[in-house]
Amino acid sequence: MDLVKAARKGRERALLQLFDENHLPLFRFAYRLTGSVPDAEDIVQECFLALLRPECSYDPGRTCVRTYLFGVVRNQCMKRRLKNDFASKDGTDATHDRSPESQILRAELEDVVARAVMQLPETQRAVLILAHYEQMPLAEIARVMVLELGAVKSRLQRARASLREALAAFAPGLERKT
Amino acid sequence: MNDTELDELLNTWTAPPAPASLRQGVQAGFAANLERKTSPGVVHWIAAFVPSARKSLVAGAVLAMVTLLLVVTLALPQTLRLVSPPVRIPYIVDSDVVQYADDGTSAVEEHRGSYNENGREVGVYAVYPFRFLNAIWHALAKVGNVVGQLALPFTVSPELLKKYESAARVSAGSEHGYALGSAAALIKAGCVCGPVVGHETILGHPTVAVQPDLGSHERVTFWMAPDLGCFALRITIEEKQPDGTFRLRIRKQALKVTLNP
Repeated sequence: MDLVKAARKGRERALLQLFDENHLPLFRFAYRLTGSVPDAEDIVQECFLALLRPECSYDPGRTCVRTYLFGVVRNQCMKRRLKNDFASKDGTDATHDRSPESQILRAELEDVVARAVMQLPETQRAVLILAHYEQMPLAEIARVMVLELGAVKSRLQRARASLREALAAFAPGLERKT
Repeated sequence: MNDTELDELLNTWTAPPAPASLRQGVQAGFAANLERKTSPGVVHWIAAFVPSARKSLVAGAVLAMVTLLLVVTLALPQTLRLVSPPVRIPYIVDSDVVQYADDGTSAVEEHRGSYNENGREVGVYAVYPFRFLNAIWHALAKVGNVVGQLALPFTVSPELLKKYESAARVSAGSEHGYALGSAAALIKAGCVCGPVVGHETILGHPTVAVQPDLGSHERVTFWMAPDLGCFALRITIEEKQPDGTFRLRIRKQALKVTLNP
C-alpha cells in the first residue's frame, strides 16, 4: 500500500518508514538553504506532517513523494526567508562541530564556501544544492523547482560561474602555493 | 578554476547530521494529528470507505453486511428507547479510540459518538475504519451485549439488576467498558471516584483526572467533565509490564463536543 495513504489512515509505521527513507537529504537541503539547524529541523518536520493533512496537494499520479517533499521543503524555506530573512544574513553556522587546531583552515574555508553559496540568488542556490550536494538528476530538479529543464541548466551554470568567481582566491591550486 | 576544483571546494561545506529530535517531533506531530482530527464523523469514514469498496464486489458485499449489522445493533437500543419516555440528547461527543501495538505504532480502532445520561455513557454511533472483520466482530459483540441486557431481568437478582442499572458506565471502545459505582454518587462527588491525578480543560470543558482502583493489571485514567455529567473526554488504559512500568495500550480521546445536536 502507498505509504502516504497508509499514514493518512493512521498507520504511524508508514509515516516513520517514509521519514526514515527521505529525511536525511531533505534535512541537508533545508539546512543548506537556511543555514540553520533549528530552521531545517522545523521545516522537515512540518513537511512530513503536512502530508497527513486533508488539504495536502500531494498526488502520487503526478509526482513521486521524494520530489514532492523536496518541493515542500524548498517552498517552506522561501516562506521563512521572506518572514525572517534568516539569521544567516551574516553567515551560517556552517562551522558546526569544528575544533580549532588542525581544522582551523578547513573550517574557515567551509565558512567561506557556505557564505558564497548562501549569497547566490535563491533559485540558483536551490538548483546548485540539489545538483551538487544531493546529486539529483536535472529533470527531477526541474520538477521540484517547477522550472523548464533548460532553465535549470542555465541557473546551474550561472551559479557555478558565480561561485567560481567568488571562490577564485581559494582554488585548491592557489591554496597550496600560499 | 576548473570544474573539479570547484567541486572540491564546494565539498568542504558539509551538513550536520539530522538531530534525533526530528524523528521524535514527527512522531509527536503524528499523535497530535490523530487527536486533532476535527469531527470527521460518520460521513468522513464512509467517504473513505467508498473508493475501497468499489475495488471489488466482495469488499462491497462485506461492507454491506457490516453496515447492516451496525444499523441493526445501533437501532436496537434506539428502538428500546421508543417504548420508554422520549429522551433529549443534550450533547454528542465524537471520539476516537486509538490502539497502541507493542512496537509503539498506533491505529484508530473505533470512531464513536456518545453522551452521558444520568452518569451512564450512551452510544449514538460507532464506526470501525477499514477493518471489516474487526467491524463484524464488534457488531456481533454489540448484538451479544443487547441480548445480554435484555436477558438480565431473568438471569440476575432484582437487587443486582438495580445496582447495574444505577451504575456509572464509561466506555473506551466496544471492548472496554467500566462500571464506576453509583452514577448518582459519582455526579454528586464531582466525578471523583478514586485518586485524583490531575485537572485539565479538554475542548473547553474542565475535567478531573482520576485513577480508580479497578483491581486489574491495567492502570486506567479517566478525564471526566462534571459539566457533561461526568462524561470521560479522555481515557487511557495502560498495561503493567513485568518491570513494574506501564505501557499505553488504548486511548480514547474526544475530538468534538456538539451541544444540543
